[in-house]
Order: sequence, then structure tokens, then C-alpha cells
Amino acid sequence: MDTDRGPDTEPVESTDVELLRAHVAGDAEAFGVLFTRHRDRLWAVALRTCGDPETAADGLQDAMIAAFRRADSFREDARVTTWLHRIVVNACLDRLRAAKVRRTEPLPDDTDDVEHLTRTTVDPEPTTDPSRAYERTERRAAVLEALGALTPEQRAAVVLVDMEGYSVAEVATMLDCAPGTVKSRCSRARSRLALLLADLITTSDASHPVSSAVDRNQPIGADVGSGTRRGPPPVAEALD
Amino acid sequence: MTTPHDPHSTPDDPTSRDAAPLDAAREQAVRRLLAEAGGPEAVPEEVAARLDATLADLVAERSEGADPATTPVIAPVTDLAARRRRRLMRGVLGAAAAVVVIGLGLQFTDDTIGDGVSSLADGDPDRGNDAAGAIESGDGSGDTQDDTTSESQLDEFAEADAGDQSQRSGPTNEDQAPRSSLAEAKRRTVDEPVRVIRDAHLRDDLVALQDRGLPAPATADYSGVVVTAPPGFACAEMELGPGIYVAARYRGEPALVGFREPVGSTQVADVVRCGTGDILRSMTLPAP
Repeated sequence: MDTDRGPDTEPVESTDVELLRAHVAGDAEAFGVLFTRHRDRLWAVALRTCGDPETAADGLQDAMIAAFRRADSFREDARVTTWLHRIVVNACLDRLRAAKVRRTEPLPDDTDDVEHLTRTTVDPEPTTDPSRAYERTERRAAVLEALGALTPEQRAAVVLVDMEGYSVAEVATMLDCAPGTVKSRCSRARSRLALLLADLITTSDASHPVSSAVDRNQPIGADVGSGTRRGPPPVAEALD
Repeated sequence: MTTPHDPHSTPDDPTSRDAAPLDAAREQAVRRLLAEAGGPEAVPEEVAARLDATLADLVAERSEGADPATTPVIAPVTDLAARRRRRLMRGVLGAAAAVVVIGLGLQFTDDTIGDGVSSLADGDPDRGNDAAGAIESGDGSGDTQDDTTSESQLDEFAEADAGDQSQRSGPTNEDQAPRSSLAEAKRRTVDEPVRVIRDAHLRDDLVALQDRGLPAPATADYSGVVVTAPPGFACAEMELGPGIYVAARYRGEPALVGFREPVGSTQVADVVRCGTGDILRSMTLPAP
């Protein structure tokens, strides 16, 4: 059950559930170890859900405080990562809703957000071919910008399902909605993205094999004990 | 490449249903693009440092015996979104000051009513003072820097605040406004941690409090005295000018931050010492 510790972790490393239990029991270090373990993935979700780094940073910090304080509310019928993602996404959505209430029109510098986000996004698959690297960077930038055209709820769903590779059932738990709602949000989001990214879809169809990120990220246990990437595959070739 | 973001779109509105269902090939292509753009992101150093500092505060709080599940955790939040808004408004000043007079005492008890508002007229002075003492002995880890502030620094702060206020124009509304006893104030009980106001980050902390502690601008009522605080927060009695007050801690003591009615594009925030009503700090912020 709690055996997925990843290939590059210490053999004696505690699982997520063990760390959370230790935190609730009073261990001063456990929560830090747990949160640091998953911080990059949680940041990625916050960044793509919020759409800009500053809101994402606020949301992630809100989420960390909430998780620290409410650790004893964790029920072990879900994975710790699912629970953490749920808190992060909800914190981000709260931030976005608050921002929407605060302002009825985008701030003048909002147009910088996507650019900033793109600059802070690291290509996970660096290549030695400069032209190919440039194409990939451009595609990533276009996708991230297009995500900004979705509603926050649609964006959260499609980020978790298609970018992070979680199952619809897990995402339904994270977003506290029915699986059908997740499917519906993803479907609408993809339809809208297809219009926005029509040029990329045309050109990328011919040069890239079809990905099936979701199929490769099925739950493998009740707990994820490592920061091992469970999201979309790094390269399509590696999956064949 | 993309169309402009529609901030008003919702899952149920027409714009979110404007695209026709995709065929399988196009849907797979979209999903492939998304997968390719996914993957891990290294947390920026600045964000990592913030998270580490906040976590250290949380751990320190708990190590002093507080129950993290029930105790309002003091964890200063540097609200970057608020900072961005503030940047846009930098240089815009001019607002009002406030007057606070000493009175009796009260406590926020555990009868949380969410965002509802009720009268504080039944506050018990003794209970309030007891709880205030408990708060003071129960934390402080988050504001060590503030507790060690020297008198000379305080003088500098006072001068800086005076300079800030000197840029405001004309007499203030609060100068002539009727004052209310804290016990008669309306309260708004919230499940939010009591935030620490730090001298070194005064503006950031006040903006963060403004961002999280005030109701939506459309519903905010500054005509009376409303105090927003979590259950258990205690503040000794005093008289207050009109405004919306939010519970905080300043230099290791319970305090209220009074947000005055916005004037134009600015809003004055005063840090008020519980029990004495002294205005410890005052700053003009961009209006919410």
C-alpha cells in the first residue's frame, strides 16, 4: 500500500500517511518533510490553476497553512496527495473568486501574467536541438496562455486530468464534485482549447504520437510516498 | 494565438458552451498538447522562502503548546496579489485619520456565526481581559522581530507615519464622527487566523489584512463600528471611531486595525492598541 516511495528516495523514508500521522501526533519535522516532498507538483497545479505566479504563491501558502492546521481532518480513504491537491486547488479557486469580486475589469498589468508564467515555466524535456526546443517552448507558452481563457473550474479540471494525469475519480474528489462534472468541465475546456490552439493541433498532429497521459496515471495504492512524477509522461517515446 | 480571457465566463454560461464537441482525434491532440505543457515546476526561490518562513512560524506556534487544529495560527502572509494592486496605486495618497478613546472591554467568544454580524453589547470585561492575557502568553513566535523593536526605531516609525499622514488633505471625517464603545460595536466572527502586523513589513501586512479581512467593497459599511475577529480573540474596551476593525497582533499584543471609509482611491488603516485606543501606526493604502 504505502510502498510507492520512488526510485530516488531513501530506503527508510516515511510514507506520506506516516508523516501526516506523525505531524498530528506532534512531530515538529514531519509536515515540512511531507510538504517539501510534493511542493513542486503542488506549485505546478497552483500556477496553472491560478494563471499567474503571484496568486499561485498566495494560494499555495494559504493551502499549506490550512493543511498544517487541519491535518487531523485527513481521512485515510484517500491518498495524502489527493488531499493536498484538493486543498491547494480550493485555495487557488478561493483566491480567484476573491479577485473577481474585488475587480470587475482586469488590471492593466494582468496581461503580463501569462508572460511571467511562461518565463517561470521550465521545459521539463530539454533537448539539444535548438529549433525543436524553441518549438516546444512556444507550444507550452501557447497552451498556458490558452488556459487563461477557461473558467477557473474548467481550468482546474483540465490541469489535474490532462496536465497532471490524475484520474477523473481522483479529480472529482479533489474538486468535491461528481465525476460527471469533471468530465463535463474537461470536455468543454478541451473544446474551447481546440479552437484557441487550432494551429498547433494541425501542425502537431503530424509530428507527435498520440499521448495518453491519463491512462498512465492510474492509482497504484492508497498513498504516494514520493515526489516521483505521476503526471503526463516526459516524452511520448518513453511510453511505447 | 489565443482569444482574450473572459473573466465573467462560468461553467454554465453560454460562452463556456460555445465550442462544439470534439471528434476523438482533435480531443486527443488537445490532450497531447496539455500533457506536453504539464509536468513539474520548480518552486521559485522567493516562494520557497516564504513557505519555509510560514512553516517555521506554524511549527513554533505549535511547539508553544497551542493546538494547531483549533488555535488561530499567526502566520504572516505576504500577499503578492495585493502587492501587485498596491504597485498600481503607488503614489496616490490623501485620506482621513481616526480617533480612538479608552473605554471598558470585551471578548470574541466561540459562538461563531460565520459572516453574520451581531452586537457586542454583551461583552464581559473580565472575560475579555483574561483571554487577552492568554493570547499574549500563547504566542509571539511570529512577531519576535516586532517585540525587539527599539524605541529609536519606534520614533522613526512615528515620524514616517506622520509624514504619511501629512500628505492627507483637510480635516477628517473621523475627527467629527460620533464614537462608539467597543462593547456596543457590531462583530463579525470569522474562522481566520489572527495576523501579525510587523513594523518591517507594515504596508504589506496591512494590505494583506485589507485584502482578507474586509468585506466586499460593495457591501462594506463604514458608517458604524464593526469588528472582525476569530473566536477567542479578546480586546480590552475602548471607544472607536467609525470603521471596520480587524483583529491583529502588533508587537506581541492584541490590536485592532481600523480601516476607514475609502476616500477616492485611498483608504487609511490605523493600528489601534487594545485597551488604550492608542493609534500605534497609521498608513494610507489603496482603496479595496
